[in-house]
Amino acid sequence: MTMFRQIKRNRRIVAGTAVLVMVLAVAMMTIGVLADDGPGVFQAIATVAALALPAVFALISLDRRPSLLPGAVMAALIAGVLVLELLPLWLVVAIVWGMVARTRPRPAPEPRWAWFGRPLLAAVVAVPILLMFSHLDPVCTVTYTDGRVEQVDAATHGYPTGWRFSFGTYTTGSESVSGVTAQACSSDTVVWWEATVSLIATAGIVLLARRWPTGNQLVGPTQSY
Amino acid sequence: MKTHDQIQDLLEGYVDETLDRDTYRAVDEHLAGCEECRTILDGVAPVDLSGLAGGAVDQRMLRRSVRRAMWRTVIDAALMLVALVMAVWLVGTFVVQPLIVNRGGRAATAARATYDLAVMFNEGAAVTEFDIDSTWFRRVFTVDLSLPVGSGMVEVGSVSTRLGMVGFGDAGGGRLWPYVENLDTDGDAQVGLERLGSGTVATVAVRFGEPISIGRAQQLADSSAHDVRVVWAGFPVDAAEERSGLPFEPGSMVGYGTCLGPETMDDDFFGATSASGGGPSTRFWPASIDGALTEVRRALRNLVDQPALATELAQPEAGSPERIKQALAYLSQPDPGVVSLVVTGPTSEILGFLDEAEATWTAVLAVDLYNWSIPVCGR
Repeated sequence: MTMFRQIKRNRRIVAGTAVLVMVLAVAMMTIGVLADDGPGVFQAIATVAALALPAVFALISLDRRPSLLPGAVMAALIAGVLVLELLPLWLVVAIVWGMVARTRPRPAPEPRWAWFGRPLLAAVVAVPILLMFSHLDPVCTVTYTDGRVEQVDAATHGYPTGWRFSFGTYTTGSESVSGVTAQACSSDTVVWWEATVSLIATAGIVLLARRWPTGNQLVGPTQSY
Repeated sequence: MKTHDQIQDLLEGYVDETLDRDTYRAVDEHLAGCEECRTILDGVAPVDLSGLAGGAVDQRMLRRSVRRAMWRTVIDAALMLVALVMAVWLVGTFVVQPLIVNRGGRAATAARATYDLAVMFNEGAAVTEFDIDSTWFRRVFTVDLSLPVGSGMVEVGSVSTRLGMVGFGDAGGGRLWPYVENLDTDGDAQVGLERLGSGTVATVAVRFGEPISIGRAQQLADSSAHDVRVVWAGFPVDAAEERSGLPFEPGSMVGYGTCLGPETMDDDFFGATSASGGGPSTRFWPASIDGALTEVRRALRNLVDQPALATELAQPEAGSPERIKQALAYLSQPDPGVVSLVVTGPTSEILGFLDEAEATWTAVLAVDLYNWSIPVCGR
């Protein structure tokens, strides 16, 4: 394979997988929103934005920032560890991006600080996710035989509220109570203020990634003809 | 617009991605249509020989290059290993699980059934945890139950069912027998069966307020309006009290499975309530109500002939040798009647049977979750 084709192929792979990840995240949350007990639209947008951050890093790396691609790999691994349900997806993506980074014709030029800056930048993808799940907001609902659905105090069902990190473990319960067809509790839901703060953090991280130096900034201005 | 020569000067920057956006695009477009430039690019990219221009080889640099090449090999091998593991994992997760283990949506059905049944069969109980343990080749659904007592909850236990690649195993309560003893489903069988939905095989006991004739019982068993199998028939013996003066509990009966073998029940249970007297013919499974009565008579006769065995088998409240004798005398009349039937079949068919039988008491004894593991008699 010629070098030209290899470069083109690498770019297509990175762009393709990044878009695929974003599409999957959107699809997943759309299914969640459409479910009866799923999150609200705003909360879903915040979650998708937070989950898509590694893919955004990968796309930004295509804009003359090749040394950011390994950062996207690290971010994918961190996201995978934080949201274990998506670990396989992130592992595959991380491996693909890692292979692409490894098959670059020449190592991307970078200053020494990049060795520390890159993991740090990758680690901040955890912030929007942590912001959404570090405060517990349990919700319990009761469905009556006449179809009414009422929200009840989650504390009486043993679900604590407050600052304590816990991912959205979804637990359902049902009791044989007269007139009640189902009781369901979620140990943590994403409330509007968590979604807002998370979205702001996500936007900040994207801006930060955009500040990553481009190739020509690292080696000085290119001579123009 | 850059010239052919200008583009060639920019190839180093193209490989390193150090060109500005417009220049990069211009080089990219030019390369797509210029074979000579692509050939030059092949020479530019992989090896930078500028360090060898002077002819002298830096030994330190050489050693470092070799070391780096070795590390690259190790990393590549590790990556391939990870990729292989991932491939196996993906096949297990996205091929074996959905296509084999969960074929036909079995997992969702099994999960729902496990959850529903646990609650249904333990009145007042609440599911405190519902856990799905999924591996490549199986899924285990576990429901933890608690009962509200005072202001707290008392653990009842857990029910788990296992969905494998081939069948459905009772990983611990798949047929929910442990909870059947605590059932209080008088008159609730119909509601329970409707909740179970079609496709489930259930075993239901019915009792009649007044004994029905053997002919009527057989007619119910053979009715074309439903497709159920009568697996047990109970014959009344409380009426024997009137003749013997010996105390029989109201509603006492003896019965016999019409297709279940005695080995499926423990000795005490079978000995006391099903009038098994042991002996060579106990493995004979009568296929009719009348055949069941014949077996009951035979078993009682055997016990009468062997009082020691009767005493050994019978529970204290169920049968002294004298009472067994009286029961046999009563049941020896031509048509002593049938007071109870146990039937098994798909829930929809059993509902049809209940409509026709007009029983005064019904109870769900067992549910075979889709008959995946232990076939219910006749199915």
